[in-house]
Amino acid sequence: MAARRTTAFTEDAHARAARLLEGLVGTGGIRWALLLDDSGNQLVSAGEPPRCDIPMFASLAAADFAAGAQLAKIIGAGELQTFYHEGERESIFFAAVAAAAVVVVLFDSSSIPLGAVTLHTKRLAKDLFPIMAGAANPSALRRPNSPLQAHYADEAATEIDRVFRDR
Amino acid sequence: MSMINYASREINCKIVYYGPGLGGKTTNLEHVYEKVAPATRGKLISLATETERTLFFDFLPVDLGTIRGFKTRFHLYTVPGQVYYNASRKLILKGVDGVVFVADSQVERLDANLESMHNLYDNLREYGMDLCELPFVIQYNKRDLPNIAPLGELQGHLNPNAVPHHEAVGTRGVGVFDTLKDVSKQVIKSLG
Repeated sequence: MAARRTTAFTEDAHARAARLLEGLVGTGGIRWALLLDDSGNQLVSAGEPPRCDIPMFASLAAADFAAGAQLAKIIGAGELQTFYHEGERESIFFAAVAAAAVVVVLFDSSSIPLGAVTLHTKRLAKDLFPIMAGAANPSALRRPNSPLQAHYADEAATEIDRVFRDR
Repeated sequence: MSMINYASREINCKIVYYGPGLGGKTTNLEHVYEKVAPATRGKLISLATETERTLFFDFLPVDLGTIRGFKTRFHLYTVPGQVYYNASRKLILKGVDGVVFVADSQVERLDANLESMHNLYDNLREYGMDLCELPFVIQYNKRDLPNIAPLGELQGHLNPNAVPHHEAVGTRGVGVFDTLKDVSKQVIKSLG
């Protein structure tokens, strides 16, 4: 039985992914791009974020894409590669980055056609793939500056007792 | 799956509240939302029907603060308890780091508890996960009601592996934080 795993997203992976996302938002009409894992953890973003709670956005986006992928699966449409919500002005485009990550793009549909967004975002997803594959490398968890070395669990337990209580 | 982001210096962990319908999963999250300091929590999202039954999930992010230079955050989720929402439940379990099973202590809900527990094992198995290897806590909720099963009987049926358990009255907040503290400490210890 496979155990669950902790994933590390390193500074190098972050910098490489950020450069790719910044390249995409440099394309006219694309306002914001967000890379998240399939648990809804935000990894890196570029551009102008929406005025909303970003963890909430990320959790809903991951769940939305997962639900779409499941719908595709049950009708026999295979793996879901992209997903699209059309808004009055701003629209949302999702693209799978391998199995464990999703890139989400907000764009102004009056400034850039959907076809261009699809093309750019699918290319970005392909370029992000090796970065995300490297994020699954558990050796990063044992780096000298890993927070999991010495005393982290003890200090976290103290904070848990402080934060999780009736005020 | 917990994520350590070295660039943004964040650690995120996912805890899922599981259990039969109307057992009190959403009530647990609502109590946490109401009682923790506002600065430590994000928005509580509920994707629910018009009759306030959970349709997809509830979500509440809670920050522990910065520990050893890393901002540590728990993402708390509930699943819909109703039997026919299994596809949604399975999606929410993806990447889970710790599970709270909220059992309904009422005698007439024993079968629903058992069905939900079996469903939890089955759904985790489909992700290649084993509940015996996960941080896991059982909460026996609704202990204030008159028609509850004795604790020993519930333990016999639902907790053969003797994982940590807590009695609770979710509507009054009794046992809610004890449960959350227990599972979150287990999750932190299991990182890596």
